Amino acid sequence: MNAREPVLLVVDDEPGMLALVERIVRAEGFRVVLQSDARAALRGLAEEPADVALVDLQMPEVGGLDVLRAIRERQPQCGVILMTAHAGVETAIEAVKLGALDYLAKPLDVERLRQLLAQAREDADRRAALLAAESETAHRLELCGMIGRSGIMQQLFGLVRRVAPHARAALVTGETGVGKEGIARAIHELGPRRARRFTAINCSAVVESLFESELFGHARGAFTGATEHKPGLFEAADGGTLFLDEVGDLPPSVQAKLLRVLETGEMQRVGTLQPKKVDVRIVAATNRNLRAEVDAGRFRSDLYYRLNVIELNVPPLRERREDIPYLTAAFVKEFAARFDKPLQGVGPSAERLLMSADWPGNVRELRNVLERACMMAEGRVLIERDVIAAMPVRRDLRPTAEARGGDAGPARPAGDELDDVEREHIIRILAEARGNKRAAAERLGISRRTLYRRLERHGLVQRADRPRNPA
Amino acid sequence: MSDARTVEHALRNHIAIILGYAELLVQECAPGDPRREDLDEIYKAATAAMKLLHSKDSAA
Repeated sequence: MNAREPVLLVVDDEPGMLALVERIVRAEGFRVVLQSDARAALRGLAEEPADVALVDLQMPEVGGLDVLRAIRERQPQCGVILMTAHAGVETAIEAVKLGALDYLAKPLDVERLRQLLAQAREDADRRAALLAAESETAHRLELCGMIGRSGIMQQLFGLVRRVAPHARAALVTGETGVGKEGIARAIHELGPRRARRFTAINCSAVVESLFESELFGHARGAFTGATEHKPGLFEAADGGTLFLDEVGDLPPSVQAKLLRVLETGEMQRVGTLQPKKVDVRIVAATNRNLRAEVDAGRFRSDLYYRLNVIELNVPPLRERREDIPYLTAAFVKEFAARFDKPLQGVGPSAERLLMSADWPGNVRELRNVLERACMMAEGRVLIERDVIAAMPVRRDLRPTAEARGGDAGPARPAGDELDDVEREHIIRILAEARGNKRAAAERLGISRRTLYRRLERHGLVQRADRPRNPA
Repeated sequence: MSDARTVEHALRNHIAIILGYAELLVQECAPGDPRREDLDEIYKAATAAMKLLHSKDSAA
């Protein structure tokens, strides 16, 4: 499975000792690197990392303990075995304190050395297998719609992987558009309930009076219009995961009932007294500071502690800008396929623009902008103009004529709301027409020529893009 | 390190090398191989030399 031979680095100033060690480990399946100079050994380590190092304690200039320290610092995954012709208790203790695997006296105990190396080899193999499994999981997380190569996202993914098999409840926090539902789905997908249902509800989108029946279902005749027995989301999600988005918007009466389900594992349909057992894993999400909501008395603290068994905070996009190129590449690929366009990527100035934007709407906003940009794009590469045109209009960020490529279109007075509405509307219709301008013009009830004029006026297209002789 | 210490250190290493090879060869000898006895002599002599160095240590 692991084709790579582990590397054993041997450092001893006595060449005869190097040759002996090589002879001893010949059949142990290591690629052996011999170094009689400690400095050269440390330099070489940067190019070819070692899995195990066997280091002589007494060497001129750089001693074995220094080599041990350097390796521990630079390559903590590399196990270090020290050897010495003068066994001493103090140095042995010092070596173990510094993290040495073992301490061998010369003459070397051949069997002991082979044993240690076999063990180190096993460890190296296990680590390699683990790494492969992790990248497989990362791949799976990307399939859940998330890309996170940045350190903070990798940390978050690691946490998700660790809690997914165990947590009965989790709270996902983060600004709007950061991908909280993606994290919730990943918890479900990586957990023991992956074969069961993942049910989602947006708590801010339900009318308060319907909440209870939505979550817990109702019996026939429970209220006017309740003509049938109807199971709620809890029953639908039984055995699976229930995702409560915007849980901070849950009305107080429902908070109390939700708490009861979490505490007892029992719920009641509206209009019945008979409790029903449900086994549901709850993943809640919020863009609010739930702690502050608790302090303000708007969110029950007991429910907060039930949900907050583990908190997964998804960082905003501006705190992980290094992910923007990867996200961009994935979105452009997606939309190029959807709009059937030959788009292959993003030009350098467009990428700079994407990298430096604020993204208050986070990944969702980036995705929307790229969707529009891909729709409008004419070439094989998204250019700065495509991106600017697709950026949402913000009073302070409105592209200047200069940013629009020196377009000579009339300058728009700031605060012209109607203009903004028209611009947004044209973009939306064009989006629905998948960028087909003839169809968009038809739907807008204007001629293609007029549409082109509007596009120019709103900086959505360059004058040169206009066909010489529109039909 | 003084000259004497340097020499002693090198000596220990060389004896360790002799012992290491001797041990390897002993391990690889088929039972009843007549060379086994010769190897034992090398091993014994090298071990005795190492002991001498050690006893010198503890006498010092």
